[in-house]
Amino acid sequence: MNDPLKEFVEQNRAAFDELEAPVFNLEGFKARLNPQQEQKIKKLWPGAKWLVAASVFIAFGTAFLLYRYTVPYLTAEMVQNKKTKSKKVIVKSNPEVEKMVPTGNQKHFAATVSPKKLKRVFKQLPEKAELNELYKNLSDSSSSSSRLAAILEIEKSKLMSNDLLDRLAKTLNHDENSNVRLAALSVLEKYSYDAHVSTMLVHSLNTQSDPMVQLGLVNILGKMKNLNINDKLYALANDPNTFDAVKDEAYNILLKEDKL
Amino acid sequence: MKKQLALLFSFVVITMSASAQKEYKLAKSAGKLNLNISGAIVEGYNGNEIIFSTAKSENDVVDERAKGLRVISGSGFADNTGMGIDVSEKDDEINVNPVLKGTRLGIITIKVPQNIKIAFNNTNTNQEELILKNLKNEIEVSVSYNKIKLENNSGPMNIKTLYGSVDAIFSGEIKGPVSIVSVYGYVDVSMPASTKANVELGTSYGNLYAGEGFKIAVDKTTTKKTESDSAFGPKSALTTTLTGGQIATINSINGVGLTTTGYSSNGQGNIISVNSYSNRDRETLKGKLNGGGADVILKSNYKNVYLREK
Repeated sequence: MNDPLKEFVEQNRAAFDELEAPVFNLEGFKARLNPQQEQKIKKLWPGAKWLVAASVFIAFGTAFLLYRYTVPYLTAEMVQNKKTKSKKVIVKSNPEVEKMVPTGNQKHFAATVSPKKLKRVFKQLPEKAELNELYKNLSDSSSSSSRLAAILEIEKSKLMSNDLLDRLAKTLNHDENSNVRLAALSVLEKYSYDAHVSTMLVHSLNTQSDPMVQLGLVNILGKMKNLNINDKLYALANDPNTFDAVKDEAYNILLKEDKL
Repeated sequence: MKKQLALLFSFVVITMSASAQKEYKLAKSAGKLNLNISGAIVEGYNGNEIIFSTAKSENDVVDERAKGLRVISGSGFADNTGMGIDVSEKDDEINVNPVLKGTRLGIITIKVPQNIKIAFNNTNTNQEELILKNLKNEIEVSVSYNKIKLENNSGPMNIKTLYGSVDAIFSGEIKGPVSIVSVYGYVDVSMPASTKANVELGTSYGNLYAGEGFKIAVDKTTTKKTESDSAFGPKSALTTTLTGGQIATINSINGVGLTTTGYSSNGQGNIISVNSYSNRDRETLKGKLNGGGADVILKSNYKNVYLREK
């Protein structure tokens, strides 16, 4: 810093001689210069740090979200496999357990493993091959009839798992065919006592684009006393784009409960 | 005399050719036909060509200004058939889109090989009749206003109309699933009394009717359901104790009660509105016909559902 200044002064000594220079206070000048530099540094770096921090955060955030949303769908079948496998193992081992029952020491163990519970869970979970076939048909985008058939199959088998419920909810909200959506709704309706299902149905009421399904949803949810969907019914009834019949139904339910 | 006959014959030939239909043929015997037009008569036949044709109707006004010009459209569709529609093939699918708008596009008759799948979509208010006949593969109809007639199709089919009604006649064995739903129109289905099916009939404000010949064995699960629903009113509890064809009639009496209390509740006090609450429940009937078979779902929200013998 000093050297160029000295050079400059020496080169222009003539000029300095001619004009009267003010008293040059180097310390003061330095003091004036340095804080500015420091400020510059401060301004530059913290911003970049925050940017880096934010980008890292965003990267992690999106990775986390993607992981959260994709993994259940991707590995759902694997999980199902595991479940059925483990269940099968347990069921297979059941006879052994029963055999062991007579030997006095094992009695306690046999009592703690309640076979009833296991049986019931196993009953609720459909066979793997059957499931895969169902899943395949349920996502057959080329034929709405085979999707409908898959849903009716699920209804008849009376087998249900959370995974299946989620898939049905997906169908309810995203299938391109109304008839298929309606069938999914009628299956879900049977499980509407379940808190998870009822929240899915309420959620569907927000996003549903099909007037026919909206009608069914309003009908089902309106009957359930423990739900408070009045705000949503108001919103539906006041939306100019809502299908007339859906509006009527929404008003109807609000009227019944003296909420209008 | 001979001259006169020849003249007459030639005259007939000329008039025939003048009134002849416009026709467009497409060789295709499998795949899916997507129709996005306002109405059509689709007929299955034994062959391997799809034949589109329009009959020139008498009130067809010829637009003099359009002479020598062709219809163009911003949608990217071009009239490649000469009848105001765009027919294009993509892989296994044939897409049919309108280029001419509104009433200028008359009813188009389409003859298709029986095994072609049909998908008909029309959410437009422009609507004409839709008739589907003699088809042996999947039918998918999703419309807002069209009236739909289905004759002698085997299914499976998914039919939805918001404002239109549906008339369906099944003459043989039904391939399931068959789902026919309407919001404001009636659903009228005829099938042989010997049909094996799992039927599900439903209506919110209308009634269900069934022919005498149908012995519907009502599912236990649904009766249970009505029981749980009937917690609100004693009337619907009646239905749980009855079986078979009787149910439809008893329920229809319920339905009458429904509409009357519904009206009176509008101006009156609380007690009546409680009554109407119990009666406004939807009507659903699930059961087996002749031991069960194909799944048949028939629903109408505001009008009746008829199941009659053929």
